[in-house]
Amino acid sequence: MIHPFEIMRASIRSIGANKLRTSLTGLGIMIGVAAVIIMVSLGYGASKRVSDTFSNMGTNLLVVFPGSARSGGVRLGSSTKPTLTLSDWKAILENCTSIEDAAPEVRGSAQVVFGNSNWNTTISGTTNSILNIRNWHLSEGRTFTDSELRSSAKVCIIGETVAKELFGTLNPIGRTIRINKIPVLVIGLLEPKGSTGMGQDQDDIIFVPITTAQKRLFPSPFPQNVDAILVKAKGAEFIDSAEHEVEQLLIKRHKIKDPSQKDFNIRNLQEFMDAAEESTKTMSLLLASVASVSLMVGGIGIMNIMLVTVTERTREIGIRMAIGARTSDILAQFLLEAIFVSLIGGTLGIITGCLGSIVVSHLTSWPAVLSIKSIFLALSFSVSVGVLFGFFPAWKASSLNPIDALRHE
Amino acid sequence: MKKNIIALHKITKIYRMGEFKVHALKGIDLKVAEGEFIAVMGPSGSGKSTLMSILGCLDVPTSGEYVLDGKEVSKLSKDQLACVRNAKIGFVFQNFNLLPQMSAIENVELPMMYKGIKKPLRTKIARDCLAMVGLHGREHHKPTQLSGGQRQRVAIARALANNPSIILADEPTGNLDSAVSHEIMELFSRLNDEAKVTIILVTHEHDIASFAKRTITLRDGIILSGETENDTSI
Repeated sequence: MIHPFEIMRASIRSIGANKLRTSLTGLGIMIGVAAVIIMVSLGYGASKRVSDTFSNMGTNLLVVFPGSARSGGVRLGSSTKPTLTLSDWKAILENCTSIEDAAPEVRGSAQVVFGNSNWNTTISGTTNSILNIRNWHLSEGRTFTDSELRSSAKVCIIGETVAKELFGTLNPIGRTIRINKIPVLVIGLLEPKGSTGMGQDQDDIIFVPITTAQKRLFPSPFPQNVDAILVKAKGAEFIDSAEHEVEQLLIKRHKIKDPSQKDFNIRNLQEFMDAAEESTKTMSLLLASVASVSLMVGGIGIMNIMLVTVTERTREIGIRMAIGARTSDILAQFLLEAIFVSLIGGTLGIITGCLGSIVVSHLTSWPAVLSIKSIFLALSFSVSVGVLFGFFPAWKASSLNPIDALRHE
Repeated sequence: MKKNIIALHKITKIYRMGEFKVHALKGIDLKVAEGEFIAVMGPSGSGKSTLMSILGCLDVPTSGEYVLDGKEVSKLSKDQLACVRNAKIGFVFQNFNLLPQMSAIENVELPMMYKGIKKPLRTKIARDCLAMVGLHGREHHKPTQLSGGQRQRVAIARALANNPSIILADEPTGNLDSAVSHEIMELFSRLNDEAKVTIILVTHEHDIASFAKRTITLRDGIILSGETENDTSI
């Protein structure tokens, strides 16, 4: 009985005998595989970018906002009623077991002056916890000390954009800026974070101790009130329980009887993230399925050429059968030919696809993520295309009658 | 008494052409002994080709028995027939039927490849076979680089490769001029005399048939003469 290796050699020989045809047939598969790889890698890249932007804003993050105010039956929007207080924050920190950290925030906008430059930016009164919660680090300087936090010290940590606008190339650390005409010492500079998924510049911010914001910068009739409480859950799997705990705690503390009438809102960033990732995944799946259509077309190209080949080589098949080739030997030879062509096309397609996605990501500044999985998938896909579309011609070849095949002109 | 290589008993072959039935062979009885050199003659449509297909195990008879080298082969499956062809039959065709992209030696190796003989041994046997037909030194020529006579010699070498029980030659000189035809027939005679190869040859030329030791004449699907070894009437 013939050694399988010999059949393989016979297949490779006949592929090599017709190089132009082989390369054109392989080209169809190559384009298909390359298209699938480019689309999948761009899709992965898009969903990675989405998840990056969200985790940039802080992972496992919950934000508690005050509820809406009522003014003579007219309900105003969210955060219009001063219902959240510093003691709510402390209670959350003490009582909720699913959370890792929490930070209060008092926000306002102010004109900031240094020398002859000035800038309008967001002032956030908070604690050091906010840096942990939002995965933010200092590129220079230090965080607030406990005594600064307690004593409403006139110190601040500034974002990259503020530093650039006010100081240009100067080192801001140790210099004094004026916020609402109050001199404040810059003690830290934040690492640049870029913009949020919604296009907001996150670096356009100044952090001050919460007490400084409440007492000096934005004095209000309710000195204990905060604009938001940021909560970081212990992990992705704790987000729901953290949300529940915070909700129950605040309902109890605010003595709310009907939970639908609660005077605060909790926003869960994970939900946004999941929804956004879901949509990019759907998009990349769509792109990949469009691309796989071209792989199908490539497969039909293989089938077409293999059918022509079988007709053309009917005599050869007849000769091989006459001298002792069995049905399975002929079937294997032609099937292997189809598989080799698609494998060659597939391999070239992977190379083209990888290069292509790098080029496309450079040109469009879309990130491209090449995964071993998608490459492996594309390769096995091209082999299955070879098997699928090569089988019928191979079967046709093997079912020829040797007498008729020998007489074929 | 010599051993019978081939024993046909009441072989018939009926082809269906739509509504019609064509009786190509109507009860053939034939015995071929080892070392015989037989020519099969007859006008076209006499059943020569059908008989050769059945003898060559390319087709099976509608009824009757065919014992080849002690084995009943008339009821075998397609793949079993392929194995029988590979091991016991060497074919020589009118139009040579060599694989054009392969060299002479590779063409000769092909039947051995399907038998599963390893490359070094195969190459050695193929070299010997090519030498036997007088093609020493032309092993690596492609068929297109060889003359008609040389191509037919390659085909004969290929037929000899697996040391078959019988060589079936279907009009082997049909595409050759008379001088080359005689060379090829002399080669067949030599192989028959020296190597004791059993040969069955189909031809419609009397001078070609005269190289054979026995002539069988077919007409309308039955054997007119030459049915037994002693029958010499034409």
